Amino acid sequence: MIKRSHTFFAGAALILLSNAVALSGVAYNRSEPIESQLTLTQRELQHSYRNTKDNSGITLNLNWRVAQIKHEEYAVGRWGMPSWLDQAKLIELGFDVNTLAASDEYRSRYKEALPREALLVLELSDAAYQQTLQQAKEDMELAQRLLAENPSEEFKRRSKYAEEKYADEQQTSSRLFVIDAGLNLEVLRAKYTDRKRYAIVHGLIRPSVTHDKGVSKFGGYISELHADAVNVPLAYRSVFENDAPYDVTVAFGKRLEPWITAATKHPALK
Amino acid sequence: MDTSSRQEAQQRADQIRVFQLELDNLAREGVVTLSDAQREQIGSHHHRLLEQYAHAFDIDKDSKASQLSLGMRIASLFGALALSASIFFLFYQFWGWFTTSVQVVILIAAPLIMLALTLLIQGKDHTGYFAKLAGLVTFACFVLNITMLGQIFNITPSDKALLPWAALSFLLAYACGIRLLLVAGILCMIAYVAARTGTWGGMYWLSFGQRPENFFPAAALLLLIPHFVPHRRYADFPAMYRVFGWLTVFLSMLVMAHWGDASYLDGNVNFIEGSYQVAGFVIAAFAVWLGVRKHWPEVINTGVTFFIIFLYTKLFDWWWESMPKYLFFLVLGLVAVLFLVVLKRLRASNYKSLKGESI
Repeated sequence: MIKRSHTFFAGAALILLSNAVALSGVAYNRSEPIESQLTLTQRELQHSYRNTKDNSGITLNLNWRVAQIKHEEYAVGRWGMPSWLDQAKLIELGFDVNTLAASDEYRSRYKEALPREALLVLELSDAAYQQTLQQAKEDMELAQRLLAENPSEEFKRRSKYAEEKYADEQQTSSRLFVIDAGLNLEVLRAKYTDRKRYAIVHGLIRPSVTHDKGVSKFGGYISELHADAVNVPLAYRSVFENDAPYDVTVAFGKRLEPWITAATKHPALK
Repeated sequence: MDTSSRQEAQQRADQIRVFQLELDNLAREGVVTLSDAQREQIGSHHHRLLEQYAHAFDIDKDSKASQLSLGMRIASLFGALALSASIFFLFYQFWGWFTTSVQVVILIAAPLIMLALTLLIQGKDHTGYFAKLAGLVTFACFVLNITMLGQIFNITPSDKALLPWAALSFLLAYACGIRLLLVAGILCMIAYVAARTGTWGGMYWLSFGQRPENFFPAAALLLLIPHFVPHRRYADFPAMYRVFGWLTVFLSMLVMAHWGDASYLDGNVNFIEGSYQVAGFVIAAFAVWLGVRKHWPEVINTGVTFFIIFLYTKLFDWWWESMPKYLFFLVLGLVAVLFLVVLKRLRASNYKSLKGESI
């Protein structure tokens, strides 16, 4: 029969060792040099659904988007198919596109259609956002032109909608876009060198294929970003206790896990 | 007293009770009558044994006590679940007001303190119910510990957290004889092995459920453990490994029998599903045979249950659309009757073979 003292020492060693492993991983992640550092606002970091009256902790969620394959109507969100996620990219990420394209066996496609881990590149307020902003502006100008030519209730509604969308893009929508994916951190970092504008994080990509008149069209979706929730330490709690806008500096470490290094209330919306 | 576990002591106490009842019946029927001296000798021996067992293991001395024990077990379980939930919500209620260092200290201290308390209670509580409650709360504190560390430091979720949870569950289960913690450890182990198998197959670890075949290695491991690890002190633990091992096998096969798309095997989907259906019947029958041979009632029951489930799902596939509903359920009922007849014959032949062995 095992002595109770032995059981206690074994259990205590297990508990302490598990915590030591977890905390040493955190220390490694936060050790210098850090991988990247972004300064985000309430547009890119929003209060999480986890923040309820039974939970005194504050968690912020990364509000990221993708520039989608262009459709007739302008739409940018996070659940659409990124324009850069094409057949070549899927092959680079290790998906078997031939199997995906096989239309006679759903089972074969299903095996390949499960999400896989990849490194995702986040871009803050650069080309992808500017393109989206420009698209919104063009849509607004088009809607206004159409209204001038056809002053009906329908075109008035569309013009108003387009104006609101453009205003949203300027003032409230997230400027954080996922613009690329890969499997090798060094290769991606060599391509996106500005560590204050590009962050690389772990995530999941799910492929997709559609068939149109015998032609296979490849694409995919970003199922998840692993680093999309950030805990707010006590020191910065006061910044997030009301609806005032804020600036938050988020660092991403060696394990590509984020943490907050600074947070201030911002005097006005950008 | 050479009994090392509560279970053995309870079994002996039950045997003593049944023996006393049967002896009275035999005396009443005039088959055999013991002398007063013999009765006195047996009675005092049994009385002494029962007192020793009651003192050492807090066994149920009669049927009323065993019914109360069942109530105590249920109360202990609900109490543990409620206390665990309370600890979770207590931490969530206040953690945002602590610095990171204080949060970490609380998270590490909670399972350590509860572990010490559990072992302290175990030393003083012979019933085992309070130790079980404390053990479950200890496990809950450790789950909270690792989970909240992940949330505080934004650690990427990993299946590796399942390993220390399983390890602590097993440690407490074997130290305190808590079957529920053994189950918790088994479930953590199943999840970890299945996740690892999925990862080696190239998928993201959380997607392991999308390939039920990932559970087969875990099932094999569970079925082998009681074979290689002796359980002298906790004779009921091997049955738990066997039940969960067979459940893992059968549930995975049941899913594959209707979802051939999810198989790792290349080939025609209908063929894969058909193969799993046939394999389900064969392996269920094998489990019943093995259970009878090895005197493992839990394996027999699991095998029979899933044989019926496989059969019913097949009958559903064949006849649900084409047959009137009353006729369909009549067929199901007749199948159940057939099973009763077969199992009754099996029991009778088992009894005959036992009689043959005793002669």
